[in-house]
Amino acid sequence: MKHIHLFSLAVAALLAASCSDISYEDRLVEEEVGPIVPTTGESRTVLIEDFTGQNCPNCPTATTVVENLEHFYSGHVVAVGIHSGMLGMGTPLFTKEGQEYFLKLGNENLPQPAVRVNRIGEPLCGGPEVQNRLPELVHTYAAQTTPVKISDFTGTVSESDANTYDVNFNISTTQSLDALVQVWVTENDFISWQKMPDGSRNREFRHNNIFRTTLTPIDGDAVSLTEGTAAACHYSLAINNAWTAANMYVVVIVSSKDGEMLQVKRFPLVNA
Amino acid sequence: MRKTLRFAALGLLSVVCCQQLTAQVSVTGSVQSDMMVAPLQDERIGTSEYDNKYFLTNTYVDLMLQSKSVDAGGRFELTQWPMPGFATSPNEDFKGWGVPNLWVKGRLKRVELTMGSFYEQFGSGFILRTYEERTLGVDNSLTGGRAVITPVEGLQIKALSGVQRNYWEHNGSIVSGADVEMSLDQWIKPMKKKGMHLLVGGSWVNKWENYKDKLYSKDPAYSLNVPEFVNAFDARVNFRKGGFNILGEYAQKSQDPNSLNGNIYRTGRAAMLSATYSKKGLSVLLQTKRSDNMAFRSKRNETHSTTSFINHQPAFCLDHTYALAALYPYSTMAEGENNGEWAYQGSLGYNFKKKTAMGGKYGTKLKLNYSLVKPIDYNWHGVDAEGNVNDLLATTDGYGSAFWKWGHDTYYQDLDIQLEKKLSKRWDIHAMYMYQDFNRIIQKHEGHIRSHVFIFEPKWKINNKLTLRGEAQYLYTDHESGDWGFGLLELSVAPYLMFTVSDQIGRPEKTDSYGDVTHYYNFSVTGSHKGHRLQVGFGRTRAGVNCTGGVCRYIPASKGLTINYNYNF
Repeated sequence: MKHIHLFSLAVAALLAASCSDISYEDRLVEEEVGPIVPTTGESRTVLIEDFTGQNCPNCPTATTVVENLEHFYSGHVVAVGIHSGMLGMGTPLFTKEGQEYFLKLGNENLPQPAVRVNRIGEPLCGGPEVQNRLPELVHTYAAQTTPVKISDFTGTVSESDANTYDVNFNISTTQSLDALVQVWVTENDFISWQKMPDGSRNREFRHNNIFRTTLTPIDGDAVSLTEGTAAACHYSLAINNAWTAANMYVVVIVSSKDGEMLQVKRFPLVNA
Repeated sequence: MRKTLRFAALGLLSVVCCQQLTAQVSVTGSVQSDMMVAPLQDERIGTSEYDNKYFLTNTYVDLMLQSKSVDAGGRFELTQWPMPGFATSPNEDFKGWGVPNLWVKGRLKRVELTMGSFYEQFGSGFILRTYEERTLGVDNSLTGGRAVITPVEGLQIKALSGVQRNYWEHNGSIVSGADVEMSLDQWIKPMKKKGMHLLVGGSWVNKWENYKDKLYSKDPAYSLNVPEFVNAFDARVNFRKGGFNILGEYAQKSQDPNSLNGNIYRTGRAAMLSATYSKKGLSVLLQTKRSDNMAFRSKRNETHSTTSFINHQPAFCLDHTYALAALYPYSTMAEGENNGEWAYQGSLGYNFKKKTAMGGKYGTKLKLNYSLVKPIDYNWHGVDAEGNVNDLLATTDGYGSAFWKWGHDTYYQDLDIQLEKKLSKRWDIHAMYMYQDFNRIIQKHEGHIRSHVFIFEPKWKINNKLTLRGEAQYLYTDHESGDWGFGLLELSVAPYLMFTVSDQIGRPEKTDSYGDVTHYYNFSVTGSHKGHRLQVGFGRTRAGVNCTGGVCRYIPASKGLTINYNYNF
C-alpha cells in the first residue's frame, strides 16, 4: 500500500513536469515595437546612454539590443556608446570627457554595461538586465512628447581649415524655459577589438555610436529659450585624424536645468 | 518575512515555556563578529570607498534550545555596515540587521517536523542544496516547512516547501521538493551479512514563479513565453563495502530560461560518477562529473553572482588554504557562454610506515591530487560563425552539445603533491608543490596563467608552551602578472596566545594591467580562553576572489585594523 502511494506521488510529479514545458512554436511572443507617433505635439526622441568598454565581455550583448532598438524605432531613438569606467579605461575608444561624464553617475565601480534611458533612474547593469528591461523602457518613453524642437542642422567644412566643420542648428520651444544644451560627436562603423561574452577578443568588431568628443562643457551650455523664437546655435568641430568624417554624427541634447532630458536629435555631420 | 518570523517566534516561545515546565532544555549558541575599525585608503593597493569610514562589521549570533523532542533556534545578524566586498554598489542588498533565521523542530517517533528557516540537501546537491557560507555572504535557506519521515528502518522520506531567503527579503517563488532514500541492505539480508551497503535515492524539486516581468529574446521585437513551473529530478545509487565506495548520480532540470543562462530553453543535465577506496594508510579517489545548464535559481531575473541558488554544482578541485595556492581559485562554470563543464579529479593518500626507508622514524604522509576541468561542446543554434542571428526561434534552444565531446581549451587544471613528515619530537614539516593552469575566462578575462607553486611549512615545538610555525611560499609564472612570494611566522604561546606576522609580495591586478610590486603585510595577535577567541590584526588585504566549493565572491582591496571575535557556548 505504501509503495502505491509513493508510486502515485512519482507519477504526479512527472505529470507536473511534462505540463510545465513550453512547446517550441509557442516560445516567442511578438511585441509591439516602433514609435507611437503623437497626433499633437513634438515627439520626444529617446536617449540611450550606453556606458560601455572594449574590455567588457557582456557589453556586446547590450550593444546588440541597443542597435536593434535603434533600428525598430528609426529616428526616434538616439544611442551614444560612452567608453568609460573600469572596463573602458586604457582602451583606444576611451575618452577623458566620457569618463568625466561616467563619474557623474556617482559610482566609479559601476558594473558594465550600464545603460541609462532618458537619464531617468538608475542605469540598467549587465547584459541580461539590458536585454530584458531595455525594450519596454524604450517603448514607454518613445510615446512621450516634448515642448522642444531641434532643427535646421547644417554641418559644413570651414573655409579656413578643411579639417574643421562649422556646426549650426536651431532650438525652438512651445514654452519659455532655461535649458542646457550638450553637443556631442559620435562615430559609426569603426573597426577595433572588443572582448566577447565567451572571453575571446574579436579584433574586427564593428563599433557604432562611439562617443568621440563634446563641443560644449560636459554638462552643457546654458541657453535661454523663448516661446515662439528659435535660438540659433553655432559650434566648431576639429576632426581627429583617426576619425572618418563621413561616419560621424552630431548629437544635440537639450535638458532642463533640473536634469530632465527634453529632446535629443542626431544629425550626420556631413550633410547629404 | 516578518509574518513568518512572528509566527515562528510565537511557536518558539510556546515551546520553550512548555519545555521549561516539563523537561530539561539545553542552550547552546555562538557569536561571530568580524570587524574593521577606521578602514584606511591606500592608493597603492587600490582601495575604494568603504560603506562607513569608522566601523564595518559582519556579526552573527546563533542561539539553539534543545530538549528531548523539541528544538528551536534563531540567528541575529548585523550587516548594516558590512565588511568590504559584501555590498558593492549598486548591489547593496546584503546590508541590514535583524533576525532572518528562526525555526522550531519537533520529533515524534519516526517523524521530524521543522517550521521556519531550514537548510537541506538532496543527494550531492545537484537539484537542492541550501546552506550558509559566511565568508561568501551566502545564505539561501528556505522558510516554510519540512518533514522527515523514517517509516521503517532503511527508508527515509523528506518533503518540504518554502520561500527562499534573498538577503533581507524572500524571493516570490515557491520551492517544493521530495526525497526518498532506501538502504536496500536493510532489507536484503545476504547483503547485510556480507557487509555491503546499497543506497538508492530519488529526488524531485519544483519551483513555481509567477513571473510578471518580461524576458526578451535576442530580438527586442519578441519577448519569451516562460514556464511557470520548473522541475528538477535526481536519481542516485551508492554502493559501499569495506573501504570501497562508489556513487553514481544523474540530475535533470526542465526548461528554465533565465538571466544567467541567456534566456534559453535547453534542458539542464548533470551526471557524476565517484569511486573511493580507503584502508589504513591508503586512500584513493577517482571522480568525474558533467554538468550542462544546471544552474537553478528561485528568481528568474537574478543577476547577483551568489544569490537565489536552489542547487549547488560542486567544483572538482581542492579548496586550497595556502595563500598562493589559492591565488587563482576555480569557480564552477555555469552561465552564459560557459554554461557547463566536464570535471575530473583523482587523489591518492599514502602513509609510509615508520621505520621504513620512506617513512623514517615517525612515518611520512604523501598526498597527490590532480584536477582537470574542460568545457563541454557547444554548437550554438540560430547564429552564424560571427554570432549574428539567422534563426531567432532556434536561438531559444541555446546550443546542442555532444555528450562525450570536450569544447575548446581548458578551464582549469592542477596537480598537487604534498608531503607531511615528523622529523623529530620537536620538528614537523609540510611541503607542497602545485602546478596550476588557470584560464582567465573564469574571471571574464583572456589568456591562461600557468604557474608553479612551492610551499614549505616547518613547525618547531620549542618547548611545552612555545611552538613556532613558518610558511615560505613562492609562485613562479611566465604570465605578465609576475611571480608572487609569501612568508609567515606564527608563534603560539600555549594555551592562550598566538602572534602572527606575514607578508605577501607581488603585482596587484588593475583593470587589464598590473601595478608595481607591492607588499601586503599583516600582523595579528590571537587569544583564546574557554569558548572565546579574539584576534586583532592590522594590515593590507589584496583584492581578489574568495571561493568555497566552486562559489566565489570578489573581495576588494582594504587596509586597516581588523578584529575577529568568536564565542561558542
